[in-house]
Amino acid sequence: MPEGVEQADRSDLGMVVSGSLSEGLEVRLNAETSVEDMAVGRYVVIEGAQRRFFAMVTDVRLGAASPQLAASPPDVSDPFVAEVLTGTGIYGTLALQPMLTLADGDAGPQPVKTVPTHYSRVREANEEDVSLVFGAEDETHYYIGQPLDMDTPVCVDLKRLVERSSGVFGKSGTGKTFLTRLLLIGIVQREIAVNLVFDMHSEYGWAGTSEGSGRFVKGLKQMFPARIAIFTLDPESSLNRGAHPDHVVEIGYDQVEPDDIAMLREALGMTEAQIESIIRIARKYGDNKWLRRFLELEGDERDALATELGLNPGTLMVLHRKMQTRLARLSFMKEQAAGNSVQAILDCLQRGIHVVLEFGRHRSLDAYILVANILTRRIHERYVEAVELAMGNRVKEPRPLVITIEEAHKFLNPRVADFTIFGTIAREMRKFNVTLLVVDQRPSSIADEIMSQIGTRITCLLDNEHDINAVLTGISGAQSLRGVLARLDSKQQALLLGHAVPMPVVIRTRDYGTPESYAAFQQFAEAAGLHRQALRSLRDLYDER
Amino acid sequence: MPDTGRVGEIVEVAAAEYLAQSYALHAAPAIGTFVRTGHEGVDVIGVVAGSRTAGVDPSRRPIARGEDEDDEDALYRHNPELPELLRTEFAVRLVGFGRAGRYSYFLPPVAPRLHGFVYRCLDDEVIALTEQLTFLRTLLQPGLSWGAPPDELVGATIRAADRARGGDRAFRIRAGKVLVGALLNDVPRLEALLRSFQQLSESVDSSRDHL
Ligand SMILES: Nc1ncnc2c1ncn2[C@@H]1O[C@H](COP(=O)(O)OP(=O)(O)O)[C@@H](O)[C@H]1O
Ligand SMILES: [Mg+2]
Repeated sequence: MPEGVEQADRSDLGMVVSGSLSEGLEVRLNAETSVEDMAVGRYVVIEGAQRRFFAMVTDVRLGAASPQLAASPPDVSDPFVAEVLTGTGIYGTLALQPMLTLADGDAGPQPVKTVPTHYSRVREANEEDVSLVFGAEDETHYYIGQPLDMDTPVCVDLKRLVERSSGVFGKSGTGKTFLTRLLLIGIVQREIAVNLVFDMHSEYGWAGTSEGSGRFVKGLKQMFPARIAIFTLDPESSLNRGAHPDHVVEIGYDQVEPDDIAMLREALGMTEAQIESIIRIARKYGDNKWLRRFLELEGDERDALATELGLNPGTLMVLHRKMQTRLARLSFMKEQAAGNSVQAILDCLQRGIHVVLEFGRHRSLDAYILVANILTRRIHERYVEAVELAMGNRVKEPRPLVITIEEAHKFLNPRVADFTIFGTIAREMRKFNVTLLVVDQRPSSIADEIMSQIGTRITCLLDNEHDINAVLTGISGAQSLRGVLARLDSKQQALLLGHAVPMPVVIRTRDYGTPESYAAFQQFAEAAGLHRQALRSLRDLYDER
Repeated sequence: MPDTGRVGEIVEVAAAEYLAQSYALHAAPAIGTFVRTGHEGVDVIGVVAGSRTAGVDPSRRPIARGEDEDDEDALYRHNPELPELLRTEFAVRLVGFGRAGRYSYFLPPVAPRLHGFVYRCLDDEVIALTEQLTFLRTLLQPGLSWGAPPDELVGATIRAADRARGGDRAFRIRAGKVLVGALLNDVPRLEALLRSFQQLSESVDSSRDHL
């Protein structure tokens, strides 16, 4: 065959010319392959001599065979000269990060421990390669999107996802909420865990909005009416949106503990002195009674209290006003809460019903932080009790619980992560069957030590250096993915990495909001439901799954 | 004489090139022409690298004779002994050898013989010969002092091979790509060379008319 004439294999991209395991591989592109057709994040396959490697494109570069070609460029406006030089004097190169490898006789793809030989051919991944690595949909694998430029499903292992805390990150408007909703649907469909969602912007339970055309997309309750309970802090708003809340949540003064207020330090602009005062006051009246008692105090009673506790009367006055106007004024705050919301939530969770708590018009961060913190602390307590009870006994452990929080850095930043319940949950991993699904646009604000516990990271576009660093630290080989992360599309693209996927991969997030998309979700749920019912009728109904 | 494509006879042989005398004065094949010689079934392939015409006797230099003539042809007509006193030689650089159309691109094991006949290659032969173009790099090395400069020779060779194909842009691109590697450190030279064959060129061969 004449030299220079390549095989007509159109998926062939080029060959490996240099590289290392730690720094990735350099691939020289065929003359026929234009760098402009390449994209970071693309998934490619290297056919080594003895094994196949699965890799991701992490950079695309221009090469010149001699410095002169770059320094005094020939006249490439002449198409003949340009064509001659392409692929010889000037050429494209890819930087690849090999992630997995497969040799004959391997049970499945294995982590890479070496690199392919010189001049190994590199080709585009095909459907078979994708499904080999990312599996097909089943009891735990859930179709979340497709690789760039491909239509084959990429699946996440939801069982592994909920085993540790996980995170969905990305700038505002990049698709975090849509992705999170997709994950929740998968968890509901497969009964992998029960969800408790703190739905700050009322997007998950009932009818989320879609920017695209200002239209609405279905919420979880519309998809799975019998499996979801909507709790609300603002019944009026829920009803206005057509959601019929199952339970109205009220928070009693007695439920607010000093730590809950400490969490609000930033949201309420509290000083150290104010926090310290609350701690002293609570010590006097008790953690459950301090707020009610403090709010009841008149001016001179407060001064007396200040004297008694050795506090500044001015500080107490400001604090009083703050509690009055910022807390007591919230419509769900009651001196005495009607019903026990915590118990109601736990009842649902125990029955495998997922709970979405809508905040309605309470969109302020203080309301969100306060409520999420108070409820989560109590639910966690009960989980700890239940798990401890189950240990040694033959009592069933509680179902794994996934708590979804948006604006997660408010709960997990280095200043509060040490003493918030969310910090505790992230650190203790799944010891008590509770993990977090954190959604955040500023991952760099989350304490490093918490970030390191986030096993699966699903990341939409980030452009801040610190945020990119935060998401990539602690994951091996991830540094080469920085360029990938910074160049995702601004919508509906995400980099998946960590515990729930065998190798990092960039996806186009599965479409959500079309009639076909709803139908697909429901079909799967029905099929899976029937299957499980059949299994259950064989086993003890109350046996652990 | 029937047209067998015979253009001359070897009069001097060296390791990588030979000198042939053209049967007709001023009728050497053009630079870049593929020629073949050989015996015992081995074709030795070369490319014409240049030609010169001089007196047969090196000790007697030609002198001007045409001062009173109206034109050059008249000069030759009035001095019929000239073709006997002058001769045209051409230099051929070896590029390979072959037997039954299968070619190797290194020097033949047996050097061509003196007085070996030199034939012009047919278009089909040229096409087959130039499927492989690595020999172009050999031609880029300097050869005979009076031969064409290497770049001229390479450009002419590619044009000749292209003409044999009736003009084939893909071939010219392929040839260009072979040169890139050799001339990476001299981009202007590369560029000039590429331009010399980027278009299908007209035949400028002189020897044909004289045969
Ligand atoms: N998987 C998806 N399917 C359809 N539309 C999407 C998807 N992901 C994102 N979008 C579009 O992008 C917009 C922003 O997504 P959203 O999840 O609200 O961003 P974020 O929560 O990061 O601010 C959505 O309103 C929707 O129009
Ligand atoms: Mg959002």
